[in-house]
Amino acid sequence: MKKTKRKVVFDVFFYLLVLLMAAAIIFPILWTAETSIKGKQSIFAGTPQWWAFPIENNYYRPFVIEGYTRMLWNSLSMALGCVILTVPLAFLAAYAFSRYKIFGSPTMYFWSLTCRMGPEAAFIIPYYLMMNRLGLYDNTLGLILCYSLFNLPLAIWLMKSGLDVVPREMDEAALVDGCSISKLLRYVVLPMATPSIAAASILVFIFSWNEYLFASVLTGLRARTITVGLLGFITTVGIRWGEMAAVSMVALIPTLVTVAVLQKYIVSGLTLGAVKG
Amino acid sequence: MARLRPWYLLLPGVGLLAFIDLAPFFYGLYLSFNRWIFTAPQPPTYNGFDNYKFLVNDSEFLSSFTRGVLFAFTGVVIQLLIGLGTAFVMYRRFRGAAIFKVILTLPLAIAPVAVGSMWRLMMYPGIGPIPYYLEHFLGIDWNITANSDIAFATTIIMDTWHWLPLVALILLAGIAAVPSDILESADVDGVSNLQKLRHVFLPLIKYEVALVVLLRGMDAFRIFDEIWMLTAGGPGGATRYLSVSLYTMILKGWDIGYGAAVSVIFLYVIIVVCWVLYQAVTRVSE
Repeated sequence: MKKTKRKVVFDVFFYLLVLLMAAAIIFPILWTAETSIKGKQSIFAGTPQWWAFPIENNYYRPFVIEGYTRMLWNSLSMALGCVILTVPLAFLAAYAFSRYKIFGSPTMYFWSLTCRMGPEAAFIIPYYLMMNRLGLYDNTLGLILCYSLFNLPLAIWLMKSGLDVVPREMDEAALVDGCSISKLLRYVVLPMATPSIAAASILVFIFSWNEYLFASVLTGLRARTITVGLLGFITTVGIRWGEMAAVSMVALIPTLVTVAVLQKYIVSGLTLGAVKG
Repeated sequence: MARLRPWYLLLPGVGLLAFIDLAPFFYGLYLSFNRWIFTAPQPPTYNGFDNYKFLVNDSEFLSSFTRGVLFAFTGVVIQLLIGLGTAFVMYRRFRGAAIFKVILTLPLAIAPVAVGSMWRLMMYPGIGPIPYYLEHFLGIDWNITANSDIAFATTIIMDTWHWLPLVALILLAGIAAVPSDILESADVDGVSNLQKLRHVFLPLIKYEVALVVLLRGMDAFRIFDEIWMLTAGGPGGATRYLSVSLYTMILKGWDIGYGAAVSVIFLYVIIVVCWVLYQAVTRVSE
């Protein structure tokens, strides 16, 4: 079939639209990356400078002199801690929700939905007081506990939707053969649930890494995370734009790379397993 | 399967969730009936419904509430419309679609505060390229630190940039699941594209639309990180949505009792709205 002229024109517009959208998505990221190596004179030049010469290393001061490396380390250990705490607990709960008719299961689903959707700001007063009383203020462990508020629902329902497609005849056969429940979980269910466990771990890591509000209230100098540190560049005497851009880049690159590689999981994660990516 | 007690499996996870969700909720509820200035030496004293009485007349609370609703509503409507368009673009399986999908998901991964700082770099007068070019070519004075409408619009743009990909991908999942024989028979009948959208696609993606409204509506209403980084609620409180307002209030006066009362109402509203939308989602999916 010959392409008509109208179709060609349509295709041209279509690709222009796609390019425009892609550019609109990428541009802020590139602009931030570029600002992170700009000198002060080109940041404050008045007209936007597209090529940042002379280059200035805005990464040096925060990460070498001002202790942002420590915040990076805090963020990393906190996010890994969240994965280690949340995923095993969620796996057991997800298995129970997937295989049994549990009394009040829809209510529990709604309850954990409200944990996920509820306003974090409404929790900061009780959390601040509770964590102080438990001696977990400015402590990575305290943050890890509080983050399970949104991490547990995420991991439970994501893994449940993954376990639902694992045929239950396998479990039954294993149980009939006299397999114990711990062996069943370890040798039958776990291997088949690996993809959803991996997805849940990655998303728990990303959401914990990205969180700001709880971290800003529950940490002082010791356990401060990188997202909290980012606000430190907005001072009463002005904004340190270059360094802010540099730390933003460092804060967003790990999650950006993960999602670019594993993008099919993120949609099901963000919808609590309601939509398969 | 009956010999296994599912409660053993559930207990650790659900127990932790109860500790981290229900305990602070009831603690907050208790605090909301007390007068307690954190920085003052007096211990908390019971004062009944005083905090709530104050709340219903607090113009700051009420206006930040309406602002939040307006923000969430506008954002969700815009994101649904553009998201539907984007979903249809991706439905066309064009060359380079896979790369486009990867690009589209990038914003979803970025920390909200980093999104805020990126848009601050883009939009801040005297620094960002957007105000400069708008002024230069169109003569528009795009000043997010002085003009409250522009600050509001900027928060919507930022929120759309951040979450449009999610909306588009959810809707795409719905569109892609529309059976092809329905579409073929529509084509045979010579149905126009617009009619196809109205009578074939929209009724079949009701579930996805409802899901978007639930997820995005709730998220937008409670938005904090991005806004705090971009405008910190300004100028003059124009972007002080409910979470930002609550946070500012707590930091300013350390009035724990009143802050707890606002938190309780905030949570209550979220739970009720969430329940209504959740019912809508489950009804549609049946």
